[in-house]
Amino acid sequence: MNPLTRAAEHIENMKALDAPAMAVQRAARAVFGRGRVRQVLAGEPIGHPLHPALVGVPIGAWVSASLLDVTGADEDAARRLVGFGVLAAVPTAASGAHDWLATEGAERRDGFVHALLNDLALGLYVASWLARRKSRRARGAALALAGSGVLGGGAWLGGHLVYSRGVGVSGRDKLR
Amino acid sequence: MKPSVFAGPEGHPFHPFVVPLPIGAFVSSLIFDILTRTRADGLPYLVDAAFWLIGVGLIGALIAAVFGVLDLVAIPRGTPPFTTAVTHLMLNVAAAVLFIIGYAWRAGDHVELDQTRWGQLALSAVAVGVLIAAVWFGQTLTYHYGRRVTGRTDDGRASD
Repeated sequence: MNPLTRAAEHIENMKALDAPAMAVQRAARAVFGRGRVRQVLAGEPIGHPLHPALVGVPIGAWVSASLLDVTGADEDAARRLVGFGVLAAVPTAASGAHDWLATEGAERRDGFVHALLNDLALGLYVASWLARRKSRRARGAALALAGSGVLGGGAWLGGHLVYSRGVGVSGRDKLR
Repeated sequence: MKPSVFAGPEGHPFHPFVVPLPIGAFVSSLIFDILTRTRADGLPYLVDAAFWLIGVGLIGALIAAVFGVLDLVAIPRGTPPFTTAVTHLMLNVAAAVLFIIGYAWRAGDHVELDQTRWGQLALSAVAVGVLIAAVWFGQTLTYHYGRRVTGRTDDGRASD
């Protein structure tokens, strides 16, 4: 078994995550309520989960910013890409949090760590943006690279949730 | 038919992992185009960056297409998910062609412009619209037909 899959299984068995995860779920349920916003976050208007449709925007913007850093091209454009990624991450995280509310057990643990990693990545990109605003490009570039590493781990767990565990796939409940 | 090993292991297909780069690059490019139009004197560095981002998106799209086609050829011909996959591919090809036209158009004048031309912006907006439709059909493959999802058979019905 490859080390990534082993890591996911390890997370799925970490019962210590349940107490904090359930506390966050309770708080998040109160925030989301039951209205129109929740339907949109769930992706009901498009008939598919919204979260996986949105993830490409912040990820692509952030990776493009690092590519700009590597090529040494315009630093203002790189800063704007990091900033746009941060803005795009907000609805992405909100829709992801919504999907996670319906999970329990192993999937709640996977999803919790997925969110923690992506929130950490978001924090690193916010720090990167702040450094760039002070014209500290090398620092901003390093923070963005660190962010992309953490983001990759988060994305991998997200893929695991969908393609290994079938979260969000229609008819899954009938399957089990 | 089992997907090629090059398409990623069971439960971890490569195609959905690589699609964010072109999606984010293309959408960011359009956002930059719009930003250049929000100021009377324009933002020349964003005109350059928008051009560069289309290039990044096209390279990313090529990589995504290779893994996507590997998943496509594993679907039995004539089934609903196969039709959906071909539609997904055709829409992505259409979006890529629009971006290639936009890239060629910009290659000639992005250096001297302070604002993205309205025509170039409109072309990118249409291309992003086609891309969104393509993403929707891709989502249908995953979330409706369960393609590449562990425990699903090729026709998208439950395995037992």
